[in-house]
Amino acid sequence: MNTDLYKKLHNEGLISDETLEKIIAKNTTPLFSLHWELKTLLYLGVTLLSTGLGVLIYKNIDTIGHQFILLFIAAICAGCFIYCIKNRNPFSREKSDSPSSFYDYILLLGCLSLLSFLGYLQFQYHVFGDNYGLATLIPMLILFYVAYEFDHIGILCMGITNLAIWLGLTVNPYTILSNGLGSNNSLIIPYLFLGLFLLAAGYVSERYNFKKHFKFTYQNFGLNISFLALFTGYFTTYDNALSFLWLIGVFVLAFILYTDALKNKSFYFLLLIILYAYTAISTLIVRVLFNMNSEAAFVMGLLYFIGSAICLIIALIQLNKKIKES
Amino acid sequence: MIIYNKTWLANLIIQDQMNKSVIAGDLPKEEFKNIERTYPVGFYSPNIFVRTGLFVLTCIIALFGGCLLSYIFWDTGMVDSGGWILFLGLISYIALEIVVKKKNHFRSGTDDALLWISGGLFCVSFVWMTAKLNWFFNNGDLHSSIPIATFALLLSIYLALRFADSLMALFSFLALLSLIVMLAIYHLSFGASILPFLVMLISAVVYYFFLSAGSKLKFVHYQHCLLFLQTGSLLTLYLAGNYYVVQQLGNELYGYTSIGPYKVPYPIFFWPWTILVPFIYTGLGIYKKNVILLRTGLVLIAIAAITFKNYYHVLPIEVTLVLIGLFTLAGSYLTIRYLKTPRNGFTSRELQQDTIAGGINMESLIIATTQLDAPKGTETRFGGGDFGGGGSSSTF
Repeated sequence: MNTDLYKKLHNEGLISDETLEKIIAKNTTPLFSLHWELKTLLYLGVTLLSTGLGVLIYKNIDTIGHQFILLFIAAICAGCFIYCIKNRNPFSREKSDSPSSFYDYILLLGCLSLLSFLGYLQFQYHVFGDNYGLATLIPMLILFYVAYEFDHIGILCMGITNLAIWLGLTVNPYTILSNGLGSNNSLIIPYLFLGLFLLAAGYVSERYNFKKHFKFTYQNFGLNISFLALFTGYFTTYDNALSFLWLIGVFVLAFILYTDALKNKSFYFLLLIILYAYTAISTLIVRVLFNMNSEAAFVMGLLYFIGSAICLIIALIQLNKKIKES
Repeated sequence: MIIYNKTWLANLIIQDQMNKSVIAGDLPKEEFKNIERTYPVGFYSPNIFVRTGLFVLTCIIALFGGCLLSYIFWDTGMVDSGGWILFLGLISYIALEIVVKKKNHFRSGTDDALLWISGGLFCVSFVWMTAKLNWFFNNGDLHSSIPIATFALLLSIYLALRFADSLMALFSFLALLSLIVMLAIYHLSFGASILPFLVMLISAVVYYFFLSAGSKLKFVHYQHCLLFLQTGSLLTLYLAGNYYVVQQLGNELYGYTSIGPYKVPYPIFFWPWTILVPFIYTGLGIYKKNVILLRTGLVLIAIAAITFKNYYHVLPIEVTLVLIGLFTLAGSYLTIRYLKTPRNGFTSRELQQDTIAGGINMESLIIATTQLDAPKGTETRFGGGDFGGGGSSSTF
């Protein structure tokens, strides 16, 4: 990096003497940050290690003694947690900065090995009997506790996933899309409740200023789950005359979330909400046009998509401007 | 040649540079505001989310607009020809020029979409008109794709130069590589046998050229393109000598000969290349403080390890995973401790927050998307089928 540009700006009176000195002093010893690389390596190390341990245990389950394996995982898990407890910052309702990125990933490793430990315990000794609800409830509670206590968003995500497993479903959107919830009607309602619950959790954490920065994660999961559930509800009851009620749900939810996203100036959520709402309107209009079943309807459909997309582009640009100015 | 307002482009570089200083905490906000006012940028380039939205919507408009036009002119019979595609391509290209010239869009999503749509349509119309709908190129004979590659190369160079689009620049490099490879195969008697070395040579020349171009004033508006081209050429330089790639491509070209399946010649050259080059990249990256070399090298180390693993099974997979995991964890732990106070100009602290506009921490997004399967995965490993994710099956 050269300082010529700064000097030029200084000559034009745009940069004060003080700032220029500071920048020149900094540039005599330029720093090269390995932060990103080290973080990626840590993440990779944790993932590889926990995967490798899992496979190792699974393959050798008959040859090594069970107690020994359990002890081994417990030792790793305990080691991780001891390290984290020793190095942690005191609990706070606000965001507490983690001591180092190494700490973050050791906590992740600890939680992953804890899940292995509990899973192994259940598989080998049936600690929870056939009560699978309990077997997933306990890891979930622990994960949520750890996420809040140690302030770790990655573990919060794991907790939310486990919450979904506990409810008897899996959050991964890809599995939903590939399996097609349609064949599994009974899951739509719990799914919708899960989504709304997570949205509420996000709202509460902001409203009562308790780990405010978790809101994004809650809202991200909650928003996608709720909208997907509403859309699946609509398409599974497509032939029913009352199916439009699901889409009304989409619009109501979109409106509520829209005002919230506008308040928080979140472009990410605004884009998601707009695209979901647009899909809802388009499905309605395409449906009406299909019922007309004429050439004019075909042309109207084409015109609708061109016109609506242009309108949305203008709206997006305006919205962007509005948020930037405010 | 470049379509954008050059003063604005220059001002954009100044603003970007100053913005970094603001984030690093060296430049007061008020001074930055003054600089912003003195060196204004009139481009419309929104944040990544609005850009994504505009990209999707522009694609929708182009798709349905094309359908509508085709429908209107269906009865005239003009639609069923390459000329019609060319016409549609021209319309999108004109729209692109208008959007950029009149509305000052610059990496706004709309221009990205129109750029790729018009480029794609031009290529399709070229194929249609030259090959006369003979899509399969005379039963797998790639010979007729030489003119197509030439056309794609010229077109993408033009578009990359005019719109300074980094992906388009990368695309033109790949088109150049494939053109030269095809020319070598079809017009040189020994062309196929020197392919790896030919690709290495071209990549090395291209890398060297664009590395030195980075400091030249002439290329100042193409900084993004240069970064993409450097990464791309480094990757092809390595992959051309990667043992697995050489063997697979050799199989494609030669197949089973009278002396048996294809064997890689000179393993004495290709194996060391496969293993050592990633480390050389990484080492050079650290030595020269070059982010691109360093990161490409790190990614390639993983590829080298997988290649090696594919041929030699020294250790069972799980032991390998555990060992590499432990090694990486310990290595990065020691590096972080060592660099806690900056040494030799290196630091493990982050110099700037990796937040993007809209107030989202990038890391939380990455963890949210990649860690989804983690708990399920660890539990199913013990399931052996019947436990299946701790009651996540629908029977529960």
